[in-house]
Amino acid sequence: MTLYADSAHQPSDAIEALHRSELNSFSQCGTWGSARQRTAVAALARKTRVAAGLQESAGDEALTELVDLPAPVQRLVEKTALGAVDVDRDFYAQILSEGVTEGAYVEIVALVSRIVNLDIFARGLGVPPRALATPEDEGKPSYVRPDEAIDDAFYAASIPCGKAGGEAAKALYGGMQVPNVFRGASLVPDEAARVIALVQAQYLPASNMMDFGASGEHALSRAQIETVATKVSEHNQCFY
Amino acid sequence: MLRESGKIDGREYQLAGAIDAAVDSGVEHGRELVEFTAAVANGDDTALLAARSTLVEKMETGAVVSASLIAANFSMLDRIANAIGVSLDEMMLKGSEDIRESLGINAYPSAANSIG
Repeated sequence: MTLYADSAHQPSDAIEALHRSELNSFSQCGTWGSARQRTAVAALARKTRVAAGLQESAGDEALTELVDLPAPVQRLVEKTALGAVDVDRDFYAQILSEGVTEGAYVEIVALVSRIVNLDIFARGLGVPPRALATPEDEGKPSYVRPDEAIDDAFYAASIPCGKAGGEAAKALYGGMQVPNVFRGASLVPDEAARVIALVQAQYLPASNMMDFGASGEHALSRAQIETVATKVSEHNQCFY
Repeated sequence: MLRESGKIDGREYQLAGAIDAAVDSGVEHGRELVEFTAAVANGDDTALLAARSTLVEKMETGAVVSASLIAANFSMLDRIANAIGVSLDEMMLKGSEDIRESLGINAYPSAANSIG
């Protein structure tokens, strides 16, 4: 059975496979968080959005109890789930001062943003969010921070494009100059790779983004695509 | 991006129409797409049901999937940009001064990450 079999609107096989992989990723061990922590973070993001009246429940709220998430992690999850509209450097510094590492901060933001991605898509199709899996991966996070990461005026460090980014940049960006937002989560390359794969499948391949006539495989014109993108970014008050 | 796509189309789209459904952007079915996107994002189930039906009725097969993919995608990217303080790329910053001012984008809290 396909992931969105209960919807009248069926995505391509490629999107279906990508989203299935995404759904499974939350219950797998990450770079800075265990499988149980990551599942609890994703479940808390959902619980926050359900409480705010933004989406329906997937019935997996109990997964928030898998681990006792520290208070600053809970605040970060809740803020990000609701759009991170008023997050600023002071908020970032405060979360880190309470013990969340730079890498964990980035992994949590990326993870929450990715579960919101799946849930908004399901909402658009008219079906409930797909339930999270119970974590079975007992592996330990690697806590590896890429050597190539630099402070480049974002709150957290990131891997630059080009030579300065070394092999990590090649692996992530394919040797191309990419938009800054592709670099946002690159302090945690596994998360950044997932974000970049989603963008290229759901929006446009990086090589087509600056071709303003391109609309990829969408059933929308480029102007219609950008209309939706603009409205979403207005809702989230995102300058980017 | 919307303005640039208009240049390719030989049209001058009204960018305010991508934010306010009451303004005609000039984009075909722009109003329907704005209403659908707003309802996906703001939790209004009744409006979403109506907006989705309208897309099905007025647009080609696949419009609901595409619009949902784009809405999901930018909901993800906006959160990453806002929460990690990602600054707008220099090239896009330079070409958007007038739009940002007229649409009130410079007043967003996240503007501080790009224009101080």
